[in-house]
Amino acid sequence: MTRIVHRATPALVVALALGAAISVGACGGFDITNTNQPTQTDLESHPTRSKLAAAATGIFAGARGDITGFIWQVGSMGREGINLSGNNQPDYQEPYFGPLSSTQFGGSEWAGRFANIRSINVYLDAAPKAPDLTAEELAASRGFGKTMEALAFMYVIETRANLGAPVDVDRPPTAPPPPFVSEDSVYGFIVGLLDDAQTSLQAAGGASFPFPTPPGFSGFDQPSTLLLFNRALRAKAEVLRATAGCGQPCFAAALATLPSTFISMDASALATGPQFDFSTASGDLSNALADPLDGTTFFADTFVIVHAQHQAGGALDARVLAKTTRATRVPTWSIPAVPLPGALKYTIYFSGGQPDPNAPVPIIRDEELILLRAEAELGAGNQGGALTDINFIRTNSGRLPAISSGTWNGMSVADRIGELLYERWYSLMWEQGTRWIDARRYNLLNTIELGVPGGQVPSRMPVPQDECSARNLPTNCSPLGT
Amino acid sequence: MPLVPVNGVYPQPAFTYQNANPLQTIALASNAETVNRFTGGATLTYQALQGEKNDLKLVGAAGADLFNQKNMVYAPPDLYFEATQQYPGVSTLGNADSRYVNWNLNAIDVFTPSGPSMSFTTSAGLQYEDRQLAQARGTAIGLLEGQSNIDQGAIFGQPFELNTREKTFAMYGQEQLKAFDERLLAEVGLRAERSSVFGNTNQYFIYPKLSAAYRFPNLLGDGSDFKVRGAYGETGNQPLFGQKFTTLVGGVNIGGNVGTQVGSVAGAPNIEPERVKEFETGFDASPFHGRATLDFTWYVRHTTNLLLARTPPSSSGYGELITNGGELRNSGIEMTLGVAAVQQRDFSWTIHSTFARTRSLVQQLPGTGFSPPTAGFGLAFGEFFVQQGRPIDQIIGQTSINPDGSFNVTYMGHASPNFDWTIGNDFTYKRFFLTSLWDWQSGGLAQNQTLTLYDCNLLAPDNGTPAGLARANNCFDGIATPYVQSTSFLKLREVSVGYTLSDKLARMFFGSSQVRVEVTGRNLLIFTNYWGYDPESSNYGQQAVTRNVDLGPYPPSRTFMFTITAGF
Repeated sequence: MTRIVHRATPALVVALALGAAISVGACGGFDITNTNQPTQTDLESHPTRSKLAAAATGIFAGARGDITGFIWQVGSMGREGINLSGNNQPDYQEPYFGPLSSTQFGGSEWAGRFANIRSINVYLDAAPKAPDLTAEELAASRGFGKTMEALAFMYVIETRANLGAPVDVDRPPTAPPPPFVSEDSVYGFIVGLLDDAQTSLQAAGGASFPFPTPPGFSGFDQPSTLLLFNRALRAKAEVLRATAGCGQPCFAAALATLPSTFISMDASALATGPQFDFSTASGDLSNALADPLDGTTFFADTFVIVHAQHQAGGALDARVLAKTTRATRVPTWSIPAVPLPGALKYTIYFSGGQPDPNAPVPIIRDEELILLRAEAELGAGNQGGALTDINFIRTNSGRLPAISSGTWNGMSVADRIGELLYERWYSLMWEQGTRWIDARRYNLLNTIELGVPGGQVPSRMPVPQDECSARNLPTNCSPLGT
Repeated sequence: MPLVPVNGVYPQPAFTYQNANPLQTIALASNAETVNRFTGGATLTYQALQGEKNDLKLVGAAGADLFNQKNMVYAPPDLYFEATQQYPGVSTLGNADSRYVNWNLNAIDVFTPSGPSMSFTTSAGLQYEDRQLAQARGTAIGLLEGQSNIDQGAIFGQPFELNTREKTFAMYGQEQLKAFDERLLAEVGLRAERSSVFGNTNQYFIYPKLSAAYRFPNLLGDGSDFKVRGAYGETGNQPLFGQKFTTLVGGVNIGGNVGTQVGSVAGAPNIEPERVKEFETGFDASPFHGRATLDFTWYVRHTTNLLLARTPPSSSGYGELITNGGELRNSGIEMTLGVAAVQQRDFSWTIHSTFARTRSLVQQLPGTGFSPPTAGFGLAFGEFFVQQGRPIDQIIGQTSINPDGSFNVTYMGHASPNFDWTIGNDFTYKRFFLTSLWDWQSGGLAQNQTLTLYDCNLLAPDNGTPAGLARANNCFDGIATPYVQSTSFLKLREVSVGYTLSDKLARMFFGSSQVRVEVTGRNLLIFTNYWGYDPESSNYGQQAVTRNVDLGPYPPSRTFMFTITAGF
C-alpha cells in the first residue's frame, strides 16, 4: 500500500471531480450475460433450426440417460442382478432388504425422466416460433417430441404403479405442483400423447426430421418409420394399462395397434427395434452395464440359472447361455450383510467376448412385441394365438421344445401366465427390469425369491420426498391415498 | 495385512475397497496445487480544505487482487484401485484465473464548530468493484505408464470451463457526531447499490444505518468506564453470478451429435438481493480500575427477501429453484469477560472467557418447506430441511416405523449449539507461565455418516455387541436416530507452558534481552459422547446451514510445538 499525500493543487481537484463525474459511466455495461452455456430463454424466444436440432439431440440423450440405472435398479428388485460395488449401501440394501426410501434408491428413476419431459416441453414450445422450419418439419418435430414424452412417462409409471404420477407438468417451476393422477390416467395420458404424435407424424408428409437422429434410431429415423416405434409404445402402454385395471378393452386396443408396429415373425429380426446409443466419445455417456468379467460392480443373480428351463438335449435355456457367463473374479471383499456370491455376469453388453461401453440398449424390439401380442391374446382369450407366439419365442430364442396345444389347453390360467412371464423374463433379461414389473402387474411378487435372510421384495418405488414436501404431504406420501 | 513394499513392489491387500493399498496410493498418486497471487493498491489523498473549523479531504483509492491457481491430480494406472478400472490411470489438469479490481472516491469533511469537545464528520463517496473468474479443467483416463499429461491417455473427457464476472457500484453518505468530550458517538448513513447480478441491473437498493454510544466514566467507581451502545443497520447480500439465468446444459453428446438439455437449476430472472436488518444493543464495562472487563451484546437480525435455493418437486424437471422470499430471524447474546484475579509481584492469574448463544427461526417461507442443497443423504440418515416455524438448520429424519410400514419423520434438533463457552486461564509465577484454553459446546447436532458407513456394512468396532447390532438394525430399517448425534463437547484446545529467561541468560545464549521458551499443545483432550473423530467436522466446509455433516473426515491433528521467541 502506497500513500501519497498531496498539497492542494487545482489540477488535482479538477481531476478528482472529473473522475467522480465520469465514474458511473466508466463502470461499463452492467448487463453481463452468461457466456458459459446457452440459456433456456434464448431457445424459447429466438429458436432456430440449428438450436432446435441441438435440443432434439438433447432429448435423445435425456431419454437414454437413466436407462442403465433403471435396468440394474429395477433388476435388483426382481433379483435379475445386483450392484455389489459396495460403496453406497442403499444400492443393495433397499432392493434386497427394503424399505425403499423416498430420498435414495427408492426415490430414483423419476427426476431424470421429468427433466427430459421439461426439455421436451421447452422444445415443443420453441419449435413453432422458429422462422426456418416448414410446416411439415414442424409437424415432424411435434410428433417426435410427443413420442419421446410418452416414453418418459412410461418409465415413470412402470416403477410407481398405483401411486400414479403428475402429468400436467408443463407449468412454471414457481407454480403450485400439479396433481397426481391414477395409474390408469397416466397410461391414458401416454396413449393420448402417442395418438397426438401419430397425427403430427402423418402430417409431416414426406419431410425428414429437421435434426440428426442417432444411429440407434436407424430404420426409425423418418416420420413415417418413427411412427412404427410410436405404435409399438402404444401397444405396450395398452398392455400395461390392461393389467392396471383396464382389462379386456386395453388388450383389444393393443391387438388393434400391433399390426401398425414393426412386429415381424422373422426369427432373424427379433433384435430389431430402436436403441439407446452409448459411446466413450468425449461428452458422451458410456454403457455402465458393460462390466468386465473380472469387474466388481454388476453381477447376474444365480436365480437366473435356477429357474431356467432346459433344451431338449439337457442344456440350459439358450438365452441364459447367450446372456450370462461365470465371473472370472469373485469380489475379494464382501458385504457381510449380503451373503450373495458375485459369481455370474451378464454378457448382454459385450461385443466379441469383451465388455463394450459402446453397446446400445434396446428400447423396444420385435421379440417384446411378439410377447406383448401373446399377452394381449392370452388376456383377450385367444389361447391358440398366444401359444403360437410363445412357441415362436421358445423355439427361436430359448431353443426350448415347443409346448403342445394339448399341454397348453390343459394348463391353468395361472400356469399359462407363468409361462408367458417366464418367456418375457428370459427374453428381456437385464434390458428393462421386466421380471419385477411383471410380477407386480400379476400380483406375483411373492414368487420372487428374497435372496437374503430377512429380505423383502419391494412392491413399488415410492414417490420422491421432494414431491411430498412440495404438496405438504408426509414422507412416503401416497398422493392418491392408495 | 501387509502394506509395506517388498523390493519396491506394493502388496495387493485382500480386504480393502477396490483392493487399494493406501501406502501405494500415498507414494504414487499426486495432487499438486500451485497458487500465484498478487495484491496491491494505492491511495491518493488530497487535502482540499484545512481551516480552523473545517477539514476536507478527498481520498481516492484503487486496488487489485489477481491470482492464478493450477491443479494437477494424478493417479497412475498401476495403482491397485485404478487397475480394476476399465481405463486405468487418471490425470486432471485444472487452471483458475481470478481478477478483482476496485476503486473508490471519497470526500471526508470534519467540522469542529466549538473546540475539540464536539465534531461532525461528513463523508460521501462512490465505490466500484469488478470480479472476474475464469476456470478450466480437463481429465484424461487410460494413461500410458508413467505419463501424466492429459493428452497421454486413451480417453480425454470431462472438459470444463466456467467464466464469471460481477460488477457492483455503490454510492454512500454518512454523518458522524462526537460530542461531550467524546462521551457521545452517533452515526447515521445511507448506501445505495446496484449490481450486475441483480435481475434489474439499473435498480439501486438502499440501505440505512444508525448507531449511538454513550460513555459514563467513573460510574462504577474510580478509574472505571461504562459504555452503553445501540445500533441498527441494513445490508444486502448479493445473489451469485448466474442465479438469474436458466441455462441449458450444452455439450450433451449422443451418436456423434452434440445437443442441449434444460439445466437442473431454474434461475430467477427478477432476482433481488436479500436484506439483512440488524439491531444490537449492549454495554462495555470495565470496573476496578480496569482490572475486570465485561462486554455484553444482545442482537436480533431479520433477513428478509431471502435468497433461496429451493428444491422444487422433481416433476418440474428442475433440481433447484432460485427464488427470493421469506424471512429468517437470528437472535443471540455474546459476552466477553476478562478478570485479572491475582496481580502480585511473583504470581498473577488472569481469566478470560467468552460466551455465545444463537437462536434461529424461519419466520416465513414462500411455499412449503424444502431441502437445501447438500442437505444430507436421505431421511434414513437425517437431513436438513428448511421449514417455517423451525430453526433454519433443523435436522429431520425417520425415527420410527408406523404399523402400516411407512416412516414417522420427526424434528430431531438443530445443528447449531445451544451455547459455546470458552474459558482461558493465564498464570505466571516468577519467570514461569502457564496458559490454557477450554472450549465447552453444549448441544447442536451432526449427521454422522461415517458411523452409517461402518454400521450399514457391519464394520463398526462394536459390531456383534448388542449396542452395535441395534444400530446396524436401525441402518437396515432406515431409522436415523443413531446417526443424528449431539455434538456437545468439552475440549482442551490449547495449553502452553513456558519460561522467560533472565536478562543475563538471554544475553549469554541469544545476545538478546527478551527470550521466552515455551511448549504448546493443541487439541489435547476432548470429552464427548460423539462417535467419531471430531464433533466439529463438516464435510462441506464452512456452510451457513448444511454444516456438521461427518463423512469419513481426516481426524483433527494433535500438535505439539516447541517455541523460542527472542526479541532484539
